[in-house]
Amino acid sequence: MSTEESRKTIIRIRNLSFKYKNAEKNVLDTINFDVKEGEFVLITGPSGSGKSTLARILTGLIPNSYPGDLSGEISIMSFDPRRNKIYEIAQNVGLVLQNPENQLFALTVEDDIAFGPENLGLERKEIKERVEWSLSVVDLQKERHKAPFELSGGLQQKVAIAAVLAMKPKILILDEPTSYLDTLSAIKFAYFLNELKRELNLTIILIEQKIDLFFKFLSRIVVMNEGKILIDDEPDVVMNFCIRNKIPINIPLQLLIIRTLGETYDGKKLYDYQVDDYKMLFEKIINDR
Amino acid sequence: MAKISIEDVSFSYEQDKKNNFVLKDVSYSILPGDSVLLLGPNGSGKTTLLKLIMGLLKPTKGKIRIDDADTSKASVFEISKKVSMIFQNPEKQFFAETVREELSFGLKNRGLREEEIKKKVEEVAKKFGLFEYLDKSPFDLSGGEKRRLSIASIIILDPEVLIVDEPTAGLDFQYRNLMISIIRGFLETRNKSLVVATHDIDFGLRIANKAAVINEGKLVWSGDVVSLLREEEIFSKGILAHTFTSSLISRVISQSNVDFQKVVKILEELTEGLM
Ligand SMILES: Nc1ncnc2c1ncn2[C@@H]1O[C@H](COP(=O)(O)OP(=O)(O)O)[C@@H](O)[C@H]1O
Ligand SMILES: Nc1ncnc2c1ncn2[C@@H]1O[C@H](COP(=O)(O)OP(=O)(O)O)[C@@H](O)[C@H]1O
Ligand SMILES: [Mg+2]
Ligand SMILES: [Mg+2]
Repeated sequence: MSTEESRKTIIRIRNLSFKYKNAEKNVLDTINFDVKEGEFVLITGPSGSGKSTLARILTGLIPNSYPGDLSGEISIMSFDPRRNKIYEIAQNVGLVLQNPENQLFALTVEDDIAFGPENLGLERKEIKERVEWSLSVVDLQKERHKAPFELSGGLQQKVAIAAVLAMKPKILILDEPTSYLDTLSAIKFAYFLNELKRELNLTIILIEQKIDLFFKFLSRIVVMNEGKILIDDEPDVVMNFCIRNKIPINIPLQLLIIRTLGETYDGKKLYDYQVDDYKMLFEKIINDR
Repeated sequence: MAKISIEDVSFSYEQDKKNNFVLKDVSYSILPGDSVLLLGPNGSGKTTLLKLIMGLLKPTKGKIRIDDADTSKASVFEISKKVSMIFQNPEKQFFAETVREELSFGLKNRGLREEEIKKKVEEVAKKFGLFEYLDKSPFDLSGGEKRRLSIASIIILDPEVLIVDEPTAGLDFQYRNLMISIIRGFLETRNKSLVVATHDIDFGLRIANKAAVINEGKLVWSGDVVSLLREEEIFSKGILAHTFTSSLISRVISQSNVDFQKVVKILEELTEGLM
């Protein structure tokens, strides 16, 4: 495995600002942001802070579908959404939206997944293989002939992911993908995403509120606030910063328990401890009161 | 205050086929003062049950009564005088051109005076962090803002029974906490009741006193929240999954005999950085 330093920077953003057409102020304000090949970056922050807007820029939806004033340097695997079309970018960067219903439109699950590859003009056989592969990856073989709109929210999210995977992107951007998943599906999804990343050598940018589900897989956490990047660093460093400065994000309870007791820790290892270990620590907190 | 009785309800979306049941023989009562957590995996039938209660769908078998009125016979308008529902995908429900109109709509229908409406709308908008968006189109809001608007537009009507479908999906830390205080505020009035379908068990534990678990269309468990946490089978069978927080609470209350409310309170103080 290559070291962090020798990895290629595949997204490079400098002094990026964006204002939606007819809006009064910038929703992104002089942002600098790099992503290296193979990273698993989590972006979090309050609603309205500009996370989805950033995702729209990274996938070319801005300015191609959402007009506005976009300035700064942008290189997404050498693409610039101001010069390149959405479909060019879509073969390299896949986007899974917050609300899957906005992403699904075909009459059957199968057709929805086939839609992207068909538009690329791929051969029948290749399309069929990609659909099969995507269906198996998200475990939706049983639902293949159903209409997406009949499925519950969680299953729809899986269809949306399958449809994006069928484009075989190198970078996968997911905008709060677990919002509609039940707890078990969300836990499975976190492992699934990490496996997927390793198997397909993906780079993942995940916009998420549920930090604890993904914590141990992450290379970095980025916290956004009011159109700016507040901090962008290793998970442990970011969590300590957010606890110290009372930044309103979902700090994993494990970290809070350890920290309250003033113990030293290695963030990633915290996830190897058992619930019973924390139960003992938590009882100490209760007794101390 | 209203009582809801669900009596042997089965439901199929395919009205002609009558065998593909999404809900099967569900019976349950929601009494004034109940705060019920409706839990179950994706696709288990939670949203369908809520729509049946609202009279938006009619039972294929069995019946649902709100006080003495059968929801199959009552009009949706009649039902909505007592029961209001906040839907899962709020952007689908918006129809007004501005946030202000969206919030005013229900109050206008009730014949409130102009100034009264204005005052209420602005008060609620402030509480929900929507004040600066009052003249914006609901469709130009971010996901979290849309959700807040959908909740605000129902809370402003002050129903007897509040029904909420996945209220925390897509909400950030701050607004999830705000949602909890809003729901607690709603429940402070004696005999109001709440039914909330959610997969966010951590959220549910902070507001509910009862729980009902649906799996593949069947009501597989019901009781109070504390008993649910002592129930190992539901969790080990994969019907529900513990989060780290809920498994910690479950262990602390069942193995160490610490009071449930006390545990919840300490956890809240921890996460809100008060300790
Ligand atoms: N299509 C749009 N037109 C105008 N303003 C928008 C649009 N989409 C989002 N905004 C505004 O941009 C800001 C950032 O929104 P968004 O990127 O969706 O935030 P986040 O994803 O962090 O919740 C919000 O204030 C929102 O109201
Ligand atoms: N409009 C519809 N037409 C046909 N089937 C539907 C429709 N809505 C939901 N279903 C099906 O009913 C079942 C229960 O769905 P739902 O009540 O949305 O579950 P939940 O809210 O627990 O996720 C699912 O199998 C879903 O596919
Ligand atoms: Mg967003
Ligand atoms: Mg549902």
